[in-house]
Amino acid sequence: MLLKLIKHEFKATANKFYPIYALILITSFIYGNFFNIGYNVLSAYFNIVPVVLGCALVAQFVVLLMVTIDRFNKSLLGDEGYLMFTLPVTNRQLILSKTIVTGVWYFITHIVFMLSIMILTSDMVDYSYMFKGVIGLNSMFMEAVGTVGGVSVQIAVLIKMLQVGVVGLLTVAKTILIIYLALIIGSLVKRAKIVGLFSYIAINWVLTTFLGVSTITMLINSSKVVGVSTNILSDLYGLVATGINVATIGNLAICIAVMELISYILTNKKEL
Amino acid sequence: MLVQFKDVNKKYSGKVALHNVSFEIPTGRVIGLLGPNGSGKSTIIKLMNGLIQPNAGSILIEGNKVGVQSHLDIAYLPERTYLNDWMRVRQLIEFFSDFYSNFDATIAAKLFKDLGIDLEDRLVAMSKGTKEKVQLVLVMARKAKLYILDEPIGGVDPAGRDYILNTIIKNYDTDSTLIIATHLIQEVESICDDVIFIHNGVIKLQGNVDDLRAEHGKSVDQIFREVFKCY
Amino acid sequence: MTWQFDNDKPIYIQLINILKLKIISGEIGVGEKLSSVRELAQMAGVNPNTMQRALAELEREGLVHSNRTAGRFVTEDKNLIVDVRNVYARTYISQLVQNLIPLGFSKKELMEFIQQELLEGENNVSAV
Repeated sequence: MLLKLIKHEFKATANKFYPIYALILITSFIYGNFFNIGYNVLSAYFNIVPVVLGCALVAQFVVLLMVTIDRFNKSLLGDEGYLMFTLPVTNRQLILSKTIVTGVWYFITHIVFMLSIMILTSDMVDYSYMFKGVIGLNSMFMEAVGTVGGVSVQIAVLIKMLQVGVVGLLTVAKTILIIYLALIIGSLVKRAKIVGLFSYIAINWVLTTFLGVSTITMLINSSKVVGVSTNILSDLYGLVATGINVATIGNLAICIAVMELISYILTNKKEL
Repeated sequence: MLVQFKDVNKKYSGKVALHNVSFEIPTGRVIGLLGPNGSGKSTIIKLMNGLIQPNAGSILIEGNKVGVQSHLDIAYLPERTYLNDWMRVRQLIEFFSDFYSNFDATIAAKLFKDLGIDLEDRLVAMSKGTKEKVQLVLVMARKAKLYILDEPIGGVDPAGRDYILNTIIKNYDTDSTLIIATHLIQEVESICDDVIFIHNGVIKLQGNVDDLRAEHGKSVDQIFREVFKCY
Repeated sequence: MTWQFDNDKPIYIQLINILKLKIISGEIGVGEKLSSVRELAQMAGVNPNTMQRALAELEREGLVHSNRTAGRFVTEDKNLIVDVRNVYARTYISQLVQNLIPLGFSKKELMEFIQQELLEGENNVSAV
């Protein structure tokens, strides 16, 4: 069921993103390769292209935010809710499917942004060098010897990369869920939609302060213990590890809590 | 028992919508849920569909609490347009087939053909009456245990009403129950087995239609007018 | 075209009368198999449960009987059908008499009217 919801969600949002991604990639290509294509031919349009590209790069993030808000507001808080909430799915599945799909678009948007920059600079920067560098790093990685915290360096680094990835995902999920929470709080207060915006700011402030404070506290605490060991690499590793783990657990806890809260409000307090 | 309401209470910001409402509905019946606007009909329907929760009391659908299973067992036609306007009829059929294992796409296609509705049409380009027919077809194409139709003939012309009522009788499975909520009693009373009269959140009358006619010597519409004439 | 009903009276009773008429007029023959409840209900434009109730009553009166696997059949008992037809005629005529006597007609006058009506009917038929 969750997969079906995700599939449907993608279908419903895809054609809002494809046009702008296409616009960005095409204009990047044109602008990046102006001199190759023929300066004379396109000189008349020379000034427009970067403007269009610049606007499009910004616009894609605006589209992302609007789609995030729209898919939640219209689908669940509007008349379409009569359809969504009578489907044989749970509220959590509804929320989760939207969060996941929005998260994916978030990543794709960033990737398109990076691709755009790479295409623009492809004649100035030698990206083959970058790829060679990555391959070089890879051989360094494979040949490294030694252990950190009881496991080989390779495994430790991979675990760290995985954890960073997880924190990244959770941070994105957290951001999206907080937007949803703010939207639903805004919808409960009938007076003004602006309440939604204020809720978002307030919730964000509370959570990041809380998370920030607890991370720093734990880092400080663990560094006191770390002072005992003699291996600097190990110390650093321990510090980073604690920080990442706190961030992971903290974000996960926030995601789950917000999700449950949204689910509760949808079930009990939301009157269609 | 298909539907069981026991001492259900619901309040909306201070105002009592339902007060100690209890009733049971068996399988294989056509039930008219009748009452003026604001009487509690919509509240009962929303409660059955899990769109709202009761303040007190229990609601069971086929012995289950309202949840994923009851959503599958119930085919609900809301009063309003609740589908995404930009979807084509064909996409709607795919959507319903995807989520409801008891949706019959063949029947849906046939009904749309009978109505002259092209599968490539978008809802946004249709008249209100046609949109309502589309919604009705999507509901009737499901093999559900309970069909709940909220004002299915409200905004439709008399010819359309006949078509809708005939479609309902033709396609409804006698192993399931149909609940029709409406204030247009005259039109539906000939197809109902039982009726439930509700007013101000309280059930005023409940019973078999033919028995009521025999007892009062009047049509259900007449009985209704008399029961509610003081209000 | 669905059958017409009066919502003031129980529909199943009206169904019984309509079905009885069809049987005694021969529209549905002696011993003939009836359509299924669903089909009859659809023809009549009523709820299948209501049709079921009417048929059950006809069974009780013996006009119709059901064979578990094969369905419902009109009775083979021609005498019963004739009896029902006679009862129908007498009820109708009794109503006629009860409606007209209070208007001041004598029995002789009524008889003459009836005979006239029947003769005219014959003439119309022979003219066709």
